[in-house]
Amino acid sequence: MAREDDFSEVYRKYSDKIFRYLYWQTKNFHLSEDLTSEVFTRAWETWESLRKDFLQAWLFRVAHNLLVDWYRKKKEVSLNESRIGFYDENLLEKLGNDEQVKELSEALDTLPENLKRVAILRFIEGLSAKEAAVILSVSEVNVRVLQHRALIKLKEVMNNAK
Amino acid sequence: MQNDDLIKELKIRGLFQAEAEELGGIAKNIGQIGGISRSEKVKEQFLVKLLGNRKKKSFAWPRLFVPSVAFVLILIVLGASSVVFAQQGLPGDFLYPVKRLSENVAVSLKPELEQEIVVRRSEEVKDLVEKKEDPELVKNTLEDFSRDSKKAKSKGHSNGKLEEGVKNLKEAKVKSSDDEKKEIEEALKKLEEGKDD
Repeated sequence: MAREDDFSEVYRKYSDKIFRYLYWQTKNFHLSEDLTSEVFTRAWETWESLRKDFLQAWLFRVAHNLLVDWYRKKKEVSLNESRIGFYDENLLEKLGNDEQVKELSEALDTLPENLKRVAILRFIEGLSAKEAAVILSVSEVNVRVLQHRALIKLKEVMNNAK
Repeated sequence: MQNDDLIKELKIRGLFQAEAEELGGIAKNIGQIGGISRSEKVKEQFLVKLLGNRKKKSFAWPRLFVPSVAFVLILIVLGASSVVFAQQGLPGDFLYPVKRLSENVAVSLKPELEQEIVVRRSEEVKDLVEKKEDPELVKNTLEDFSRDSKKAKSKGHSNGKLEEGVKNLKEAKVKSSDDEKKEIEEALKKLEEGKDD
């Protein structure tokens, strides 16, 4: 049962990160949970061939691609049948009522998509510039430029909000 | 990411320390607010649904069951084999304690077997003498013979079998050394005295 145990450990470790990456971009709680489930369903289906030293970047990459597809089609992407809608309703309520979360959400919404992605990966999820570069298919230098721009924009928004 | 690393990266891009620290503070603040987590229950539900019963069964018990049963079976086979093999053992042999232990268990289940045990001790004395083993072993076995025969008689379990023991000791005496002869005579004397009790 080592395969199941290993996968469960990975899911517990990374599923919140993937969910947040999707949620802070879409602000759609249920879609984010559905896409998170899809990411890990795909991971399970290809578990044997996955490079375990590259897992985090692979998971984010799949999440990123699913999201790009969703934006492009503006409809449900083709989700796996085993995707199941289990939702943390308490978290949904908390996200709706938390003032700090609302402020962050509004600040992130002022960023263009490319800056928002870098901001989430780097400042919220703590990924390295190299990992963010792989996920977003840009260079590390580009990630550093984008993160700088994102921070300047966020500073401006936050100062205006005061 | 570490805030210090971010500040360094920003300084490399030409920012002064204060500017870099200010932006680093904003990044840290965003990281703290953004770190929301879903409940463990939701995660468990997804895993059970995706992995099915395989997930539930991934508890260590089934994985340990087969090796555990195999281990216990091996222990039983080895234990039974060693008990059977030990019955041929003589005092001083590696498995002799197993033989004695199995005798104790047998007697505790069927007390009538005590007289058989006495005969066994006499056979051991005979064999040790014939093989010219350590006289100390002969002496100790004779002591065991005396003690066991006394015990068997006191419990009324000496019906007829002790004569066989006496016969074995007498045969052993013929082939024994002078010291051993004395000890065998002593044991036979004790047995004879016991008859009068």
